[in-house]
Order: sequence, then C-alpha cells, then structure tokens
Amino acid sequence: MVAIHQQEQHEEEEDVRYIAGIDEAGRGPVLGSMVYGIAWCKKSFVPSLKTKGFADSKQLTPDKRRELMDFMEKVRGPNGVDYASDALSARDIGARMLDSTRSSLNEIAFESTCRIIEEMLQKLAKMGDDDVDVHAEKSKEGGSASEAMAMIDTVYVDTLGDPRRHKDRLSGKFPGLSFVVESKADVKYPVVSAASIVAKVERDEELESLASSVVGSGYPGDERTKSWLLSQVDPIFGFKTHLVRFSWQTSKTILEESKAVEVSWDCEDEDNDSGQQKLWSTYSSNKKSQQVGGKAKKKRSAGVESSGIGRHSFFRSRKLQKIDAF
Amino acid sequence: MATGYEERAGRKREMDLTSCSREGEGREVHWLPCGIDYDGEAKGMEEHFRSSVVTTKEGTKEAYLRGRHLKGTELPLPQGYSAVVLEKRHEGGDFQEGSKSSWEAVGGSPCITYWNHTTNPSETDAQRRALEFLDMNEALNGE
Repeated sequence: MVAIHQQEQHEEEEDVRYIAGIDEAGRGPVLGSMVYGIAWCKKSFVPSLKTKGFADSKQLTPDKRRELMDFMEKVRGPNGVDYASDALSARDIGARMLDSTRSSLNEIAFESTCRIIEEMLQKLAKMGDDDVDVHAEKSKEGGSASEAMAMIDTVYVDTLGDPRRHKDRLSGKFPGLSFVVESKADVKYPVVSAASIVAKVERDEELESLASSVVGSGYPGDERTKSWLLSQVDPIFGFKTHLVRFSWQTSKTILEESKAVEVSWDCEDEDNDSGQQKLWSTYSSNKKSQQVGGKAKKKRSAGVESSGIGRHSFFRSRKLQKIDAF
Repeated sequence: MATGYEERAGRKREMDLTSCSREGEGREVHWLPCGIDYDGEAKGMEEHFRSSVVTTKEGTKEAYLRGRHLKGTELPLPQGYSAVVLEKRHEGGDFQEGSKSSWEAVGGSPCITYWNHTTNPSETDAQRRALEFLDMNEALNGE
C-alpha cells in the first residue's frame, strides 16, 4: 500500500522536471587543471538561484563565488541544487595531447562533458530507485538511464566553439536528452552559472598555492605567466609536470627559448621520415649536427645508425646492429 | 674477466671492468624513447622524474618526462649475464686512427628500466627482444 501511495505521488510531481547546466573552467590556460562542472535542479528552484545572485560567473568576485558555492553545499540535494565535476590535470591534458593518438583538447573536453552527464544521470536514476518500491527492481534494469533522462527537461551547455556541432555531438551521445548549446550560457541561465562556479572553485583550489601576482592569469598571453614559466625551467626536465601543460604552444616556445636542452622523441621522428631504422636511444652527441640551425631535429648521425639495408631481419626487428667504433 | 681488450682497424679499445663486482650501488639505468641533447648529471632527477614513477597493479611502471606519459618495465637479464655502466675515459681524439678509447665500469649490476612512450611494455618490445640475441649467440658460439 505504501508503495502505491509513493508511486502516485511520483506521478503528480512529474511536471516538476529538472534542468541542468554545464560549464568549464581552465580550458585555455597553460597552468593547472581543466574542470568541467554540471549543476542541476528542479525548474521550480531556478528563481531561488536568481535571487541568490547566480549570474555571469566572470563578473563574480572570488568571495562571491565562494559564498554561492557554500549556498549550493547547503541546499545540495534533489530539492535544492546538485552538482558534479570532472577535473583533468595539466599533466593528463599534456600527456594525452602529446601521446601517439594526439588527442585534441576538444576530444578530451567532450569526454569530460560526457562523464559529468553520466554522473548526473546515475545520481538521478538512483534517486528514482529510492522512490520506487522493491518489486520494480527487475524492470528497472537498463531502464534507469532513460528514466533519469526523462526527469530532465533541458541541459544548457556553455561552449566556446561552434554551438551547432557541439550540440550534434552531445545529442548523438545522449539521444534522450534535449540540449541547448550557447556561448556565454552562464550569463543567461543561472543553472549554468552554478555549474561554472562548481568548476571555477575547484580549479582555483588547486591553484591556491600559486600566488596570481607571481604566475599571472595562467593564460598564454599573460607576460607574468610567461616569465614565471621561464623561471621554472629545468634544463633537462622542463617544467613541473603536474602544473604545466607541456602540449601548449607557450610551453614549447619557452622551452625552445630557454636554456633547456633539446629532447627529441622517437614517435615524432617517425612522422618526419619514413622507413629509416632507428636505434631509439643511441642518441648521437655528434657536435657538428647539433649546430645545424637552432632546432635541428635530425641529429642521430649516420655514424651510429645504419639504414638497415643488408642487415638480417633478425637483427633489424631487434634493432641490433654491428658497430665498429665506440 | 677483469679487463677486455680488442684491437681492430688500428683503433684500440679497452674496457676496465674491475669495479663491476662492487655490489649494492643501486645504480639505475633508464632506457628512454627519446634523445636528450645533454651529457652530464641530471640534478632534477628526483624532483622531476623519479617522483613521478609509479608501479602499476600489473607490476609495470609509469612516469612522466617532458610532459610525455611513459610506460615501462624492468628489463630482465638472462641468467648468467649482468649489466654494467661504462664511462668513457678521455684519451686522445675520438675515433681517430691510432687513438685509444677506454671505458671504465662504474658500479655494478644496474637495474635497467626501459620505457615506451604511450604503449604498454610487452614481450614484443624490441628492447626485450634484443636480448634474444644472447640465446642465439650461445647456440652458435657456446660449447
């Protein structure tokens, strides 16, 4: 009896659907994590967000952001506002962009967006389960995701890129959800502003140890950021991996301009020349070739590596060769 | 054998392996998928590289170097073989007729870790397969 009663109540509430907002923090900077945030609440809660001052997150002071974050923590839940985030460290971003798959930032960001949407759906599905009685357990298998999607009216997404393309990708991945993708969505929709605050607060917590007076904004164009980066260079290892995105052009330029020694990667050599046999680490320190221009990429001298012609495949596949001098 | 000596094409090469037997030096050799245009001590080794090394559940290792994700493993040497780190003594010009290059072992039995960029270490890695030559050599030249 109790179960039926709850079911009825559930149906009555069905017009009180959820809206969600998605925004990111730290996509452009060369420093720190990139954080994607998602916030969701019942439509009926939106006026409360407005009154509280959820608006253009760029206009909010750090103190105001903190205050709004505290508010969200206090009212967190199905009847207030709930949220989730996904952070990718500078190290992971750099490594993904520099590995053999050469992932683009767009791809990495899209994966991040999908993860937070899935997290929201899981939370909403779980919430739905709690309402439904135990006998419904069987039927909900595989159904909980679509049930959760049905609870959501619209997902508002802030984007820097082409809104149409982004919307198509999201709709392709989550056909059951309706997306509104806009640039500066955080100004227009308080729930996106909430998501933006979730992301920004998390990113700022990580960077708290770095005084912005020293490192600047972290954006590539910032002169303070550039000179801070320059001061951090270790001649062999470069920057501290956990803070700096090595894949950013700014990082590459600073390494080239600084006293850092050149490191050439085998996988990058493969892009440039075809078929030549390589001994990975028998790096030639042939002084002559080091001085070919500022950035001579081809420095492995023929004196160290043979072309592999005439060498038996047993040795070639094991990258073994005979040397006369060492 | 404490010293090795070979003469070929008018060049002499000498290897002094006397210090090879020194145990417990804990010397590490990292075989990297990149060339570093530098010869000398790497002062930031601990802070920048070693601190990033983690051992996975599978027993392989992961680390970061210049922003790249490296995956590696220790290179097991066949029984009866040990590795040495050689340092070149500078005598005369390099590779010149009549010059002598001599090498000295500095500390014994290093632990060799080879690293791949991105890909997990596997049995088919050339670094590991290169050691198969030792078996072949044994078959051809052994007793």
